[in-house]
Amino acid sequence: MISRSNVRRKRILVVEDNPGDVALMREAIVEGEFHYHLSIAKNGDNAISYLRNLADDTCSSLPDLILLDLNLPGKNGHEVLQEIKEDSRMKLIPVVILSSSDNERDVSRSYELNANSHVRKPGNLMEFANVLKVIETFWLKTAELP
Amino acid sequence: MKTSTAQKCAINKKDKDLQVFFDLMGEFIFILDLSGKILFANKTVEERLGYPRHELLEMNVLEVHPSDRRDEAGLIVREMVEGKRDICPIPLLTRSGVHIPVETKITFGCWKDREVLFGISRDISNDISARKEESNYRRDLEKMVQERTVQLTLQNKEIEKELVLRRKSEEETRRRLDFEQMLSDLASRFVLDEDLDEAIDHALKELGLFTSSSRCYLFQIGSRSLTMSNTHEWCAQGVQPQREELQDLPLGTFQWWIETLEKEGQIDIPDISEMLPSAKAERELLERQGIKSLHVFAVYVKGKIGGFVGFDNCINTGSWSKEDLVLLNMFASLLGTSLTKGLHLREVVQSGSRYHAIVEDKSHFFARLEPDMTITFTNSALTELFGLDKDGFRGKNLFNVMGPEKTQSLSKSFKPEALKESWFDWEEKVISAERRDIWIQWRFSGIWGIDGELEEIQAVGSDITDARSASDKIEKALEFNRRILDSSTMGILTYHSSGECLQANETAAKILGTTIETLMGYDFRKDPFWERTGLKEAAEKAFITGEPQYCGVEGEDPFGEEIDLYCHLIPFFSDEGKHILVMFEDLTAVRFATREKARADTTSAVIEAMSVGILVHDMEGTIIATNSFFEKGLGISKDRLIGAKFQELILANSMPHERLHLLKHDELSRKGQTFDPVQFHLETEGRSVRCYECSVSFLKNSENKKVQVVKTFKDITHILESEKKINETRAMSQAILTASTDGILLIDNNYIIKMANTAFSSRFGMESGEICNRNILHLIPEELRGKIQNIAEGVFHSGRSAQYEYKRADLYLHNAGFPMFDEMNNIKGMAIISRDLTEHHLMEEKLKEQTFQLERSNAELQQFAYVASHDLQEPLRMVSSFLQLLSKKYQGHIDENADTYINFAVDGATRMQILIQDLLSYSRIESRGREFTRVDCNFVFQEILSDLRIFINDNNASVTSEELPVIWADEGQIYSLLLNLIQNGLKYSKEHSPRVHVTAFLRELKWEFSVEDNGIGIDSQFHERIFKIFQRLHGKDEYSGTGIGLAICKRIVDRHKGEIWLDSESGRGSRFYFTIPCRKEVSSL
Repeated sequence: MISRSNVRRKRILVVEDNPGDVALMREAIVEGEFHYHLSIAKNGDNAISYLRNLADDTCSSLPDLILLDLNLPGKNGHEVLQEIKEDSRMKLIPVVILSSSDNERDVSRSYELNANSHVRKPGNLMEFANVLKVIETFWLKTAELP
Repeated sequence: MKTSTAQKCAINKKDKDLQVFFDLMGEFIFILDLSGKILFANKTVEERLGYPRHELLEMNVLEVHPSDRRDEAGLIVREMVEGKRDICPIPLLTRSGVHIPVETKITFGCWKDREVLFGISRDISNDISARKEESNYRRDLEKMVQERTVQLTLQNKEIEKELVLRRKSEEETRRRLDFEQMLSDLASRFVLDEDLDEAIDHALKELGLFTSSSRCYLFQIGSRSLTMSNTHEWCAQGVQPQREELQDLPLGTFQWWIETLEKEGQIDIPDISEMLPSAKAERELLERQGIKSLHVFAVYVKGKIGGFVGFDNCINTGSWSKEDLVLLNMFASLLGTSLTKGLHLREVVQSGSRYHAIVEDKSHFFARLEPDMTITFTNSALTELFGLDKDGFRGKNLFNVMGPEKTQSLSKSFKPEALKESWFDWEEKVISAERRDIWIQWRFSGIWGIDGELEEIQAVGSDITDARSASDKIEKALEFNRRILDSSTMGILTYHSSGECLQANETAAKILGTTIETLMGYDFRKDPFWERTGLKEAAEKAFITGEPQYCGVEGEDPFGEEIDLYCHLIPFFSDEGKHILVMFEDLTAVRFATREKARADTTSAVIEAMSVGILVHDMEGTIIATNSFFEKGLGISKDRLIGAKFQELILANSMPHERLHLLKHDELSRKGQTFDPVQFHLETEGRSVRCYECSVSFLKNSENKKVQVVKTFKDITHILESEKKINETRAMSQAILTASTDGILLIDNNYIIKMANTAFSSRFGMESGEICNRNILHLIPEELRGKIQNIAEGVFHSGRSAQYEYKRADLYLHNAGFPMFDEMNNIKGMAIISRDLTEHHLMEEKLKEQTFQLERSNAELQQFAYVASHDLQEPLRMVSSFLQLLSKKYQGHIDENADTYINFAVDGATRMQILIQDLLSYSRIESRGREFTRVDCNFVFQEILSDLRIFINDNNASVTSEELPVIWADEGQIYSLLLNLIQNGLKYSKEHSPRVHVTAFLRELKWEFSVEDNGIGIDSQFHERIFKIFQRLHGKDEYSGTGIGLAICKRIVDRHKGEIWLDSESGRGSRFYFTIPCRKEVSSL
């Protein structure tokens, strides 16, 4: 762990309009004692323009993981996902859909649009924290990313 | 087979009954043993034959037959028994020796237990007389026709004979006249021509041609009677002249010839080969010349044979009559005279008194007259004829000598001035001194002076008595012919080739309906009747070919009468050229008679062959004639009918209830009244009842009195039957038509409605009768006419049915048009079945609307489900998460009350989440349901067991099942259903070891499952309620749960078209039942 301390902090883009959820995420990730750089986009357009700016700016680097809510004002999560996955500069970024919906069609649609995984937001705080931990463990610590 | 006594009695009784019955019958009835011994004879036999019955019983049946025909009767009976004959016609003999004509039939039978012969004889005296009458009538008719035919044939023959005769006599007459004419020409030539040789040559030629001889010649015997020479000859074309060869033949060699000539004056050798041996020399000579037959006549010169004139191979030899011979003899004598005259002339020249010799020629009469007819000189022949001396006539006037009659006749035609031009011939009959009638032909010629004045008249006469008498005969023959002609029953007409009618007889005029005068001079070539009937063609043919022609002529004659003639056209020739004799007979009557006979024959054959029964009876009802109709239909033979009374026939065969009615009609008919055809029933042989129709007509005698009733019977059973059937079918069709809610109509090719049912007509507010004969195109709105017409024309042309739909006003109609064909398979119209689909359409619209509504509400429900799952959960999650965060971070940091409140809030939020989840599951049973598959319930049960293993172990529970079926269902839902029910059973247990048992069995094509527990049970008042959503019977502190489980169970069972219920009492456990239909029923639903 120490040897990794000087490694660049992982960057996570959270696309979520609900400040409650953002708060819960911050809480969960803080609780997990890991320190990540957390960027928040409140809607799809913001998320896309943020990502394009980063992609255009050679000095900045793109986020390592995107957590994308489906229920967004304006463009919905799937539309955002589609734009990300159609842009060659961003399409390699893992996108995890976080949604309170377990509607089958929503789930299928996510994978059709090449989401890296679809995870349901649990109603229970503890469970939610667990879910986030699992996501972190897998995508940021276990999986090798490009 | 044994016969019991009772049976025997019955039989005997039956035999006795038969006897009684037989006694009542009018026929002669015999029962005989096989040898002919009479075992029984009925009363008729007894009474009519005059034997007492006991005597009869000792007799043989042959003894009641005439003794001379018994052998024959025996033979016939044998033949009848063998089936070779039907009827024995031998009469019966009464005791008193009278013959009763009968027809006897014999059949085998059984009587008093023995095999016997039944003989039934019917008196046919009446039949015979009736038949006789009929056959007499027929015979008369036939005889009449025959006689007429014979008569006509005879007449025909007679006429033919007459014709032959007439032709023959005509020919003969003509020939004789010709001959006579020729002879008289020759005679005058001989008299007047100076060159005798030339005259002889000419005469031989004429005669040779006339007699069709091959050679005609004159032999003269030399002056010293030692030789004979052929001096003149004429040969037919192609015949070798012989004269050069026949010179100076010695008379001594031909002694037979000369002797015969001297003796008979002529030699007739019909066949050279048959000449006598004594005439050997002559025969050799003749054969050398190739002569087959000849006829020679002696020529007398100065009273002795000076030669002969002969005819070789003349065709007519055989048929020469005496008259011919006389004529030829005359010629010979003429020749002789001429030769004598030649000698005389020579002598006259020699002596210088030529004139005298001529004048004194005995064979001619000679007279010289002054122009005033005063006789100056007569020769001796003339004076001798009248027995006068040489100058007996001198100085007398010819007219005075002849007597007033002759004078008148002669002076009328004789004008002396005319002698300047030519001579004048006159014939007269005088009575000689020997009282003989002598015919003299006179030729008067004039001698004219230099001043042109008539100086003298010379008259040369010859005796033509012989010729004249022949001519008289001919005249008589002609008269005879004329009479034949006029009395002939054949029409006879003679036409000249110019077309002119020369002769017609009375019959011809009568047949043609005109007069002889009209017919005479009529030109057949200009007659359209001849042209039209082919007579003209036949006549022309006869003229050209010379062959008789025959020609039948039918139709209208030139005068508009209907005629039927048979014509003979016979060509013949005469001096005046070609003629044709037309003889014809009127066949109209013959044809008529023949036709009538044929008609009579045909009529009886037709009557026999008719499919209608014919019955003729007299005014008493006795049947006179009939055909075999009743034999075929009723089994009543013709023989039995004839002579029977019609009334009896009715009584025997009619139905009792119709009998009176029939008898009444019969009575009417016998009174001569007609009535409409009567229908009635008769019982036939086979005991079936047939229906007949009888109509009546009458035969009248010559006084127009009705004498016979003709009844015709038609078997109309099948007509009635088929009528009945037709009526039934019609009624059925009508009922179907009326009952049909579909409009049904028939239209013809011109769109005229021929028939329509009420359903159709009521659409137009009309009665079905009212709509008929209207044009369908006028009934439907204009904008639809084109369409309907196109479809109909399609049907009319293709002959195929068509279906089409259209909307008219508020009606939706579905029509089917079917072509209708006539007998010739032509399309004559169309049947249309018009179904009103308005209701159907409205229903469909409604259904569409409802489906649409349902789909919309379903979509809304889906939307609700989504909202519930997402939008409602979202804020709830927030509430719940932050309350948890609150309790986690601040428990024990505020105060106890706050902790309790936070716990309540967390608990409430959690429960609400569960409720929403349950509600979602409930709603998703329909929307998230999967397709049915085969589900093995044992496998599902095992899965449930393994899922509940922990609970079971923990709670010491037992979950068991019997063998479960394989069903057709949604596997996930069956899992939920069973799981829910099992969990339910386990949950509501009062003890520590809950037990649940699952069973299933087949009941009425449904699987009935039961899940039984030993739990707390449910009060019956809640049995309905517990399947409602969120219905709970217990507090949540007692038993956890939202109350959704059984509601979900019910919904699943509903989806599988099954039922769910329970059987439970509070405290005694529960048994839940549900049914799942077997696959068949499910799939069909």
